[in-house]
Amino acid sequence: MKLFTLRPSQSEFERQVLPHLDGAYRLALWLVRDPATAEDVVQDAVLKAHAAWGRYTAGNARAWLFTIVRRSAYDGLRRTLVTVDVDDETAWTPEDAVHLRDEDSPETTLIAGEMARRLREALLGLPAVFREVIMLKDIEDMPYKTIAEVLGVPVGTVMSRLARGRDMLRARLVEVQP
Amino acid sequence: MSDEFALRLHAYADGELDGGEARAVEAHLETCAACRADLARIRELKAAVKRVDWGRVAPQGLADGIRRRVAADRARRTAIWSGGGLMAASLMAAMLLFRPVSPVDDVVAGHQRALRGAAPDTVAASGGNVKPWLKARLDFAPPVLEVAGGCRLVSARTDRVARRKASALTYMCNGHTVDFYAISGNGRTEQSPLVVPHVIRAQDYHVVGWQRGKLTCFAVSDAPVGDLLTLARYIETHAADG
Repeated sequence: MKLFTLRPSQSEFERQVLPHLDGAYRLALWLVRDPATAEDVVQDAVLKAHAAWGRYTAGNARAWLFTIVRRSAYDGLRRTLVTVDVDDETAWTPEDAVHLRDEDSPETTLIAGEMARRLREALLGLPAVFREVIMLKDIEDMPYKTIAEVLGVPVGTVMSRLARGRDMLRARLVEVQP
Repeated sequence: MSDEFALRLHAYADGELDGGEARAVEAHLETCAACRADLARIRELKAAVKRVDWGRVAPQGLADGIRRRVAADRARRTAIWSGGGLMAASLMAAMLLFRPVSPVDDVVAGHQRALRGAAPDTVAASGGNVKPWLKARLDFAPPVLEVAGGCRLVSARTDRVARRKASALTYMCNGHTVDFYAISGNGRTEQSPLVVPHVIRAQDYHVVGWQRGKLTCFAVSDAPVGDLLTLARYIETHAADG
């Protein structure tokens, strides 16, 4: 029997939430598509999360943080304070964004690099609602249930967006083949 | 293949189906070559997405900054509570103090203030006086050009942007007033990859931002973006450091 519940302490925040900074940054980066803006989004979101920590009861701290990051990112996108890249290719180069894994041999690296570049461009070109669901599933490896929590939508919506998003992504990849 | 089955096929590829559901999908796959091809394509795409290590980690400066802010926030809150009698006013002040800073908002506000003639600490440019004037007031040296392409320096002032000291040089460019801001860098912006000008739109103004070594620079005006970029590039190519 539970006699009382402890209010999560502040150092608990640091233990539970701060380990997910990298994932939070990735999510922000792929939503806003600009590293400096992504940093602002994450900082803003973490401080908001910290302020609201007293109201966080239990559950999945990562999903909770991602929810706030996502909201901040969309708020930023809506305000359109940022960013139109002037020289698109200089803002964030594929080499910058894509790090191939070490086990790739030199021969495969070029091809993989080209493929990665196309994939990145295709993914960046998707509407954000599809981009985020693919990211959360295939890059962050989140279960559907947690994605649904982050997005604030039913699991069925996650599934249909994922299927539709992957179809769109594949269509774009085929489209850009020379 | 029905849409309903397509969703289940994706879920199957994602390992999201329980034993019974998975077996049902497998049974159907046995009889449907098109579905098998679809599954293969889904798996291929998943693997390709995963194979690229999109994985950037949060920049160290960001992580450190956040940790510091969180710790400071915690210390401050503890202090307020233990001081007893939490007053709304002090909470409000704390919230204002810790609100996220937006350099762009500050730059636009400073520009508007100057346009209204309400900016303190301003000096009219005359015969090379601006550089020493700024030097006496700042701990960094912004690039100062009396003439930058089609733009002429008319005045200078000091300001604060994102709680940091900043210089603002006012240029007249084709009948538009353009403010060129330089802000001493912090740990975070120094490693910002934004070495090329970025166009930011804020309210009714154009803002172009870029990084110049340790300085964060902005040009703000109602002038066309092209003029701001020209000024930015001119400053970058003609100003000597220091």
